[in-house]
Amino acid sequence: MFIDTRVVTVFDAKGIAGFRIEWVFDDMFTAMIIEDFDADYDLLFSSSEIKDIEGNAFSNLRNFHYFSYVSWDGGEYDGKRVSDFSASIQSEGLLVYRFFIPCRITVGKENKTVKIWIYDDSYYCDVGFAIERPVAFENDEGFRASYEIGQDKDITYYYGQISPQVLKLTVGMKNG
Amino acid sequence: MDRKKLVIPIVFILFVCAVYPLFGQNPFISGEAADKQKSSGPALLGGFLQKTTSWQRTLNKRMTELGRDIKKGNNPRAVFIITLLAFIYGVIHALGPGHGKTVSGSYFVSNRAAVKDGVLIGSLIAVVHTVSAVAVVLLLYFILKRSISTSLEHYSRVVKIVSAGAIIAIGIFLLARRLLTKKEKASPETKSETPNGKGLLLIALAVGIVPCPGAILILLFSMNMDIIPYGIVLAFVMSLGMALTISLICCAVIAAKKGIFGLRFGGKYERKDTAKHIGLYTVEIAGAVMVVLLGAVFLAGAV
Repeated sequence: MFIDTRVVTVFDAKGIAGFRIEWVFDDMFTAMIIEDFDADYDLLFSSSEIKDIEGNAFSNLRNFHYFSYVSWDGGEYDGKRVSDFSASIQSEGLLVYRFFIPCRITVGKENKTVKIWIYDDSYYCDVGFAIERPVAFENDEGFRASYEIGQDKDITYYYGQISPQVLKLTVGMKNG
Repeated sequence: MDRKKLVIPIVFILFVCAVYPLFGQNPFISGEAADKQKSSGPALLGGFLQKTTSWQRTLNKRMTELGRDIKKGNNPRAVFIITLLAFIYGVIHALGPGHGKTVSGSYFVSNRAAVKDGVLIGSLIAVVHTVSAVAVVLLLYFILKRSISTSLEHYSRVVKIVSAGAIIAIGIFLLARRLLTKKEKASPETKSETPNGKGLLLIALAVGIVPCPGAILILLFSMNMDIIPYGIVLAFVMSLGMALTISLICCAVIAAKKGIFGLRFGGKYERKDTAKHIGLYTVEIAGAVMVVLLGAVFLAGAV
């Protein structure tokens, strides 16, 4: 299974409030979810269908850290809590999951580096950052924010065979 | 083994193959992460697995685009290209984890076989692997009309246990035969021990019973596109590609063993050499032990 991921960094007055994650799935997994959860094949999920998808084809990811790992100076995401799950079919006909990772990171005037890895360590899914618009920032008016994406050659998973991509965010409060 | 004795396990395995699907554990549906998957340092094998996955990602995208073109109407060019890509997809897909490469390779380490046996077992595994996938998806979709994602997960444990049990049984049989050969002091120069057709069929069934996830996904997509008959054809074209990869790996094991120990076609020695005989005997014992261990690992993962 292949997933293209996007990350929206959401700021509030204190710094980073969390990350909105978007996963666009391949046609194959899309087909499976439509077969199983879109009873009328209208490619629109009702709120009860979304609840079914969340219960039957998402919530188990709690056992897999929601594929999401966040680390910053002084802390890391525990991988246990997410909120605001939604599922839809986008215009190209592909399934999209969206959810929010609450992750309080206080940001001061000094630059702070936050690292985000999104991968499935069972390697059932191959997750990569989307080529178009992989990263966005929300409510970032009072902050400086930049990013770079690369291969993290320092760590591996799946019996040492795979190096995940890493998103490095550099954030700081604007002067004045 | 006489025919009557062979019929029962084959019928049982075919039954399970038809009724119980196996799909790699889908983390969206079930299972838990294994501990200590993360480690430090560069990727092993130069990131080979990652590269093959990247190729599959590209092929996957192209094939689904072509699938949409085919759905729109008569498009022989798209049909030709997608068929070709399905074959290539099979070749690459079989390079990834699973598909019986390690078990069948270990089987040939333990057995004296001809190159044609490698081709035969590679082809049999790929075909059984795909037949199992097609049977299971069609069964769930048309007959049982049950949720495909959850049903695949629900039954996967049973098939994993059956497959692992069969692999362990074959490994124990190979080990016992090898140990008994020494006990009887049989002469390797005069005794040919090439696996027979039944032995090859059993190992292919034991390994191939696991439905191919790649074939399952092609079938699911073809259902979504309403091109199911063509999806079945593509799944079998893909199995030809997998057969090529698995066969080549089996043949490489057979050829390496022949080269190292100076075996002639049919498993006999070219010349008398006690050191080689001891080495060969040890390697063949290790091959049988490996088959048992692999089965045990698969079983532990399934229970």
